[in-house]
Amino acid sequence: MSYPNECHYHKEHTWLILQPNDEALIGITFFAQDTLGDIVELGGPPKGSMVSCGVSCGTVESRKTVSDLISPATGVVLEVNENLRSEPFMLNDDPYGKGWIVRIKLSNLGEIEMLMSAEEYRKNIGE
Amino acid sequence: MLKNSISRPVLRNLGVTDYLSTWQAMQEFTSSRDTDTSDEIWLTEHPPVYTLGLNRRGVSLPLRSDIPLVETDRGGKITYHGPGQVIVYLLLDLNRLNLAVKLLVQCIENVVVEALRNYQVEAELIEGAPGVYVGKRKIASLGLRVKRGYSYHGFSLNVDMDLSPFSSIDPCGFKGLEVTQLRNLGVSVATDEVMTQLANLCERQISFA
Repeated sequence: MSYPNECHYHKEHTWLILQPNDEALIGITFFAQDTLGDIVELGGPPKGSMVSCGVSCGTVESRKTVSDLISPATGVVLEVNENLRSEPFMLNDDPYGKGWIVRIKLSNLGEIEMLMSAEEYRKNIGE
Repeated sequence: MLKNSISRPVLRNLGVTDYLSTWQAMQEFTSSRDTDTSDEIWLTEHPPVYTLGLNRRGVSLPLRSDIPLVETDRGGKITYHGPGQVIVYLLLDLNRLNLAVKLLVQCIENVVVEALRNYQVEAELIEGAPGVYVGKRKIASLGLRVKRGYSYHGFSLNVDMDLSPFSSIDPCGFKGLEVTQLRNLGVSVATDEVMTQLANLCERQISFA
């Protein structure tokens, strides 16, 4: 299982990578995609929408199951990874790279400190 | 917490129930449950209804208007429910059961295959097309929703029903997919008996012990 150190992790199995200008990329973790199985559809938040830390901001559909996508931080969606519409399997194949879901403008940088490090997240999922 | 502290699921035979009210009851149960709430397995049949999952891409809607269509929140595309079809809803705490979503789907498929084997029906799974098939005809469908690690919705098995409403949809989005049922396979059995068997197999497969 792979958990890059540059990511901050939310207990609902999403990650966040800080970018310049208080922006961040968000996606799902290796653990999430592994437990879900083959992902066939992403219902992510649209550009311009507000997402809130710990709150559902969309859905991920794997084989016959719809699960909630929980945002690891609060902010406004600046960009959506449109490639996932035609290639949702990137969420499985490359969850920290081509499988990024949205780029957001963070509203509250303090929230990042509440997220877990890779090591803490590994412990949390019992690795 | 010790694994063996998980209590057995509560089985509820609801009889024939309206789709909307049962769906609503599942949502309420799921949103109000906590880590101490027992899992539940609900057994029911619905009056005729088409239900459409969240993934609506490429789905053609049924042509007939005499059967209501409900847009629901499960996985999977379009299906039909009607009297003579057994429905099993699984209200489970997946974290407590240490059960990954993809494994739950496998468990459900195994339960149906095993139940059919008990009626001397050899069923198969088809790669890339979830559900359970007998001779390329679909006999069981599944669709789930997971919120905060709790599942609801479940699966259905065709026992002794009018299959004609299936012909105006592409079940689960697969064009021209044919469906079948136990009666057409020469198995004459009451829905209540099938329900009991499926519930028992679910308990065993999902290992609550």
